[in-house]
Amino acid sequence: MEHGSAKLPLLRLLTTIVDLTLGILLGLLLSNSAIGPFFADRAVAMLRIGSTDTVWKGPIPMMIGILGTFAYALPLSILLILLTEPLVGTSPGKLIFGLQIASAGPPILSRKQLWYRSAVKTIFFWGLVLSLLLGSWILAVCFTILGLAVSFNFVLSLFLPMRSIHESLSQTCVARSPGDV
Amino acid sequence: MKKRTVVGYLACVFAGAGLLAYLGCGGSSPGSTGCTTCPLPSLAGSWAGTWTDTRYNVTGPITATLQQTATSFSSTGTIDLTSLGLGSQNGTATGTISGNALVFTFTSGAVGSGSGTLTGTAGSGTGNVTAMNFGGFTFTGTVSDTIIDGTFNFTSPTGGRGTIHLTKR
Repeated sequence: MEHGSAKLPLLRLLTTIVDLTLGILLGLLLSNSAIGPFFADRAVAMLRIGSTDTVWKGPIPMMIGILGTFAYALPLSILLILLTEPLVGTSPGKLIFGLQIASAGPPILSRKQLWYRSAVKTIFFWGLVLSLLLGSWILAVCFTILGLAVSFNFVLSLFLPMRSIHESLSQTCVARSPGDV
Repeated sequence: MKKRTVVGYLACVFAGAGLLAYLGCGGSSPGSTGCTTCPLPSLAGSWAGTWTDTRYNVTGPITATLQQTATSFSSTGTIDLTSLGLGSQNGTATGTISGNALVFTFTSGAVGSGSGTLTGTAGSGTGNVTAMNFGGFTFTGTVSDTIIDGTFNFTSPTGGRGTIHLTKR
């Protein structure tokens, strides 16, 4: 159940854009620290870059590899931004556009609901981070598929009368903050 | 990001080709180690060949025109990055020779540039592209009057590495 005006879907889309943009900016910073090369090294292991039997060959993997210290640290940087939701109860984008997470089930929003919501919503990002750390391309493929499904579902929920899966499972919703018109 | 990619690979190719033009010695066969006491090969002219990234299995053609004097060298040319969807790109490299040391710079428009040094006639060197996240590279090679063979290796963990082969037209 969502509350608010017809502008709410647009505001939610804008908050997502803001959060992802901050994640990208953080990724640029991380790429110039020890974290960037660390995850690039993990990508070599996960994708078996340079191995004769790897499927990770061709122009696109090559282009990604050139930006490897940024590209392969990006899942972590975006995840860190999105983790603000369970940690402080909101994200930078929601703060800017006056939105808040509310409970659509129990009368009071709990920390457990926030973590459950975040775990589903960010499955693509924490899944890729885990895959890189473990060096498993099979896990990466699985989490990519799951992540794409969650993302597609979220986009649909903005335009259709349905709840997103991360909100349905956590019994949460997004509404305008009190005092916003 | 795409322009910087072009700068990086273009810089590597022309810097490597330009530097390798002053490695080895006349009559050296490709694949052999460079000669540290032989005269420099005659490399002025037009060259053509290929670059191959052996890590990602991507390749493309290269053409270059080299000029040299007793104290300087320069090169211009084209590298075909169609396999990367970037078309053909132009670039230049210049350098000065003093004794057995060569200092060079390379650039492509206003996007980025780099530089490197070579001491003696040993077929190796390093460089760095001044573009965000692109990083440095190393190269080695052997040169004769008609063939330039080199290898390049970007130092980024997921960067490319491969070979360059040029023959004089």
